[in-house]
Amino acid sequence: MSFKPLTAASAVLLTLAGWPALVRGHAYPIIVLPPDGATLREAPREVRMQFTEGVEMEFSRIVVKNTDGEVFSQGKLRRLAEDIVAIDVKPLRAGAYRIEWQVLSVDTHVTDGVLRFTVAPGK
Amino acid sequence: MVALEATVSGALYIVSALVLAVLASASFVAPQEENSSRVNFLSKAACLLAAFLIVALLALAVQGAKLSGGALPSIDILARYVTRTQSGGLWLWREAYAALLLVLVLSFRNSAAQDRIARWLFLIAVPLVASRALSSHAAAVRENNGIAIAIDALHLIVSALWAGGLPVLFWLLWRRNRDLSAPLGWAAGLVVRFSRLALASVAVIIATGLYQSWLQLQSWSALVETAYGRVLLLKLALFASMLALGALNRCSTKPALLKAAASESLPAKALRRIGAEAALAVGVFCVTGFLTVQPPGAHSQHRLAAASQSAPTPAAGVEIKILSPREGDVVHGDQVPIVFRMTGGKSGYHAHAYVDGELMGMFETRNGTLTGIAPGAHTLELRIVAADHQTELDASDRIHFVVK
Repeated sequence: MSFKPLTAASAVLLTLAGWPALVRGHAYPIIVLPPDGATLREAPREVRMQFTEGVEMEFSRIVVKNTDGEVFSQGKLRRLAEDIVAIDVKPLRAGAYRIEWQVLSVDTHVTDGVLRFTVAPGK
Repeated sequence: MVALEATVSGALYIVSALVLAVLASASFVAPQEENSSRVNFLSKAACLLAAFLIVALLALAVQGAKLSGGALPSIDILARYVTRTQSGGLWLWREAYAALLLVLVLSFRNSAAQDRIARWLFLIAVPLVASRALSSHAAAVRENNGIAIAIDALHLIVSALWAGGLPVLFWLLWRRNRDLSAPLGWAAGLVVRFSRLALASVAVIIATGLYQSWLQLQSWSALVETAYGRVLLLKLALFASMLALGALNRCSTKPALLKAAASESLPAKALRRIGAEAALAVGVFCVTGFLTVQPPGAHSQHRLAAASQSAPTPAAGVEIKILSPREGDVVHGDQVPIVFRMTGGKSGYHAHAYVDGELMGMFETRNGTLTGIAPGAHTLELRIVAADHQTELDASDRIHFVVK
């Protein structure tokens, strides 16, 4: 038997193996409150995220930090729907904050990322 | 890590498909009168089930490494994954089911009435193959995911019968050619029976494959613009090559085998063609492994939604109407159930919900609940949005309600 088809298939698979730059995870945030990059007049009481698909609570987390790395999120991550989770935050002072998130989706993929928002001074 | 995950995923597809294909061969393809070949099939099924258990363990290790940020996973991580997540629980169930099936195959391997036992074992093996749909992309579909899972399960079963059956058929014919222990008519009989099974399977594979492709891509552009779409194109190219070779084998190899004298050896050309088709089948499973680690094309096109700053995009035939709450309704508690009617036209895909101008939710079904709404008077506005989650169309409805 000729092994040309097998050789060709192996070459294609090796090419795919070197293609990680195109690969991203599966559960994407589609709605975040407060929105990414927003400047808020009032400090939020919670951070809420809706994803493109359902997420598993175990191995999923949202952490809110200021620029010094001080953590402002508190309590356990709450599930509001299959694809919506929320975390409470302590009272926030004016300043810039990061939302660091990681979720495990129901189709076994792990995704993470960082979003930002600012609480404006004055209130 | 991605390449390793895809490789293990593809290996799991291959091994589980071969388990079902070997049992299907014992049940429907092997000659009726031959119990000895069934015993041989069941021995092979036992080896493949042992391989399934090992590859599934590797898959768990890879999953654990993903959850540990690429490091070797701890026992604690693996235990938490298996006991506290839906996909981990499914992994445990499939591992236990495969172990049980292995015990059954080993127990009944040498008993009488092999044909009946083989059919029972085949039926018992079907859920092992189909259950992968419960943690696949189909499981993550937002609407009607029961239908998506059922169709994915059907796709997995028929793919195992055809694409998994080809390497088994090739192995049988190659072995027969090596020792010439069986007459050529035996080989011809195998090919004829497998051909019938393959023809029915291919029809179902095409129908279920088309449904799944559309479900995961949602647009023609995603086929070329996303990694998922490009890997799918590669899979389709391999599948089309399999179909072409399969048609050639059906129209040329099968009649040649049926015409050949019983004493002749199997023509080398026929064996090569069936071998090439089997190699392509293995290639399709490998590419499917890569497909499982890609985000579906529809997801890749998603961008984080934000309150629309620009004017809504004109679109024909789109309309939305809030049915509940109604104008002036009073809602008690911070949860506000919403029901609406929507005509999406060609471009409307789902609805964004704004409370007092702030984006608070997204709904793909025609109802849902907004949570965390503060007491007081509010304005609820629903806008129809295109599949990219960004383009808001010029169709919206607005009501006022009060939370107490």
